[in-house]
Amino acid sequence: MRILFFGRLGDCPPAAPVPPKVRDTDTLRAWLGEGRPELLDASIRIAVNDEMILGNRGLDEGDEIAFLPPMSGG
Amino acid sequence: MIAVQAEPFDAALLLADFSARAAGAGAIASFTGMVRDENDGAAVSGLTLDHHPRLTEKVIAGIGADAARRFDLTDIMIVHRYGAMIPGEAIVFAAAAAPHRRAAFDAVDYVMDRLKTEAPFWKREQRSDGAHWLEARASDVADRRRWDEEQGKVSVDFVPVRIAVLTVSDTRNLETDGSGGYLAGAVETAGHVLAARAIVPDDAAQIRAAVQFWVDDPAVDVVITTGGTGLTGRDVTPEAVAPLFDKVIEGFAAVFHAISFQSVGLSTIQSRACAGVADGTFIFCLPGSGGAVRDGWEKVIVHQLDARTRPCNLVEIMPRLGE
Repeated sequence: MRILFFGRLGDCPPAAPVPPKVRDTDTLRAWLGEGRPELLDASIRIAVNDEMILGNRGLDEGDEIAFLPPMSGG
Repeated sequence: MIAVQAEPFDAALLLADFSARAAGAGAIASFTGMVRDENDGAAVSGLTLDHHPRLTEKVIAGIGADAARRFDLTDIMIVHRYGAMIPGEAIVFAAAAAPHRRAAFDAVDYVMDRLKTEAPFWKREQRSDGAHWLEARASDVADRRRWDEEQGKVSVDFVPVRIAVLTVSDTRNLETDGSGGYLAGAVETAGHVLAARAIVPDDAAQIRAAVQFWVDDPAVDVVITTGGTGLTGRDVTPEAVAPLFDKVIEGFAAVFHAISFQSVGLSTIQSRACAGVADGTFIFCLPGSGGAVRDGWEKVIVHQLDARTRPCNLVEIMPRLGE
């Protein structure tokens, strides 16, 4: 699994290897959130394999998960 | 043409190029966003724009396609930079070509309002008082909502809404979930967007958390649950969801029972179907049985989620839920 952080979230170093119990985005967020509670905030969106997701999503070994804080384009 | 690039660009050249391509259009409007040299009273010496290598381009392409469809454009161009830039440089260029000026003006305005709030970019300003991450301002979000409101008011056309479907069941999975599967299909058949679909067990905490997550998500307008509205000990959907309601839509339960009575007679009293509004999101809780879900969707919800329903419907009041 590849985990990416964007914007202000990228200021922190990436997490340790993902434990095997993490099989979906909810548990991934909860696991990462133990050390980085800002990831639990509802304003942080998640994209899996370049697709924004809503709700929980099952994860496979080869998935790329991106944590996206509120955006500021233009 | 959509481009996300690190290289600086010359907006005048892009406009000349676009105008040549759009030759024959009655109107061309364009906007160029520049790196400002001060913010909050502090001098800005530079700006770094973080982006997602693929998602950003995909989202911008989607916004461009929406604008082209909505305003009947003959052509559209969006160029957005990422990486490091300095004050005075252009960040974004948007241009629209249309038969008439109003569509061209509006399309550029629309594209910029959506880019500000939806395009995966993250701005970091280097100011005299340090580095600052910027996020969309409240005014940006209000600008973005303008287009939703305007669409609701001026249009008597169908307006798709974004619906999340939650199945409440201890035993079903995505393969065996007939009622949830029916709703997911019916939502899209009606022309709405299936924003998400999930299954949770008959557990009040899990049901409430799932619904709350979607209530908090600005990309979900409506939540429909199926299951857990009966009277047995495991049926806890109303108890789980009702505390989230700012307003209960009592009439929904009354109308649902009147309709369901036609199908199942007095047995309808065993259902505690309910609906309400939570933080601007409509929530409907339907029973788990296939017949009841069809009655609830086909005879009540689908009509009230159709902006064309007269004399009034739930879609047209969505922009006012937060007043």
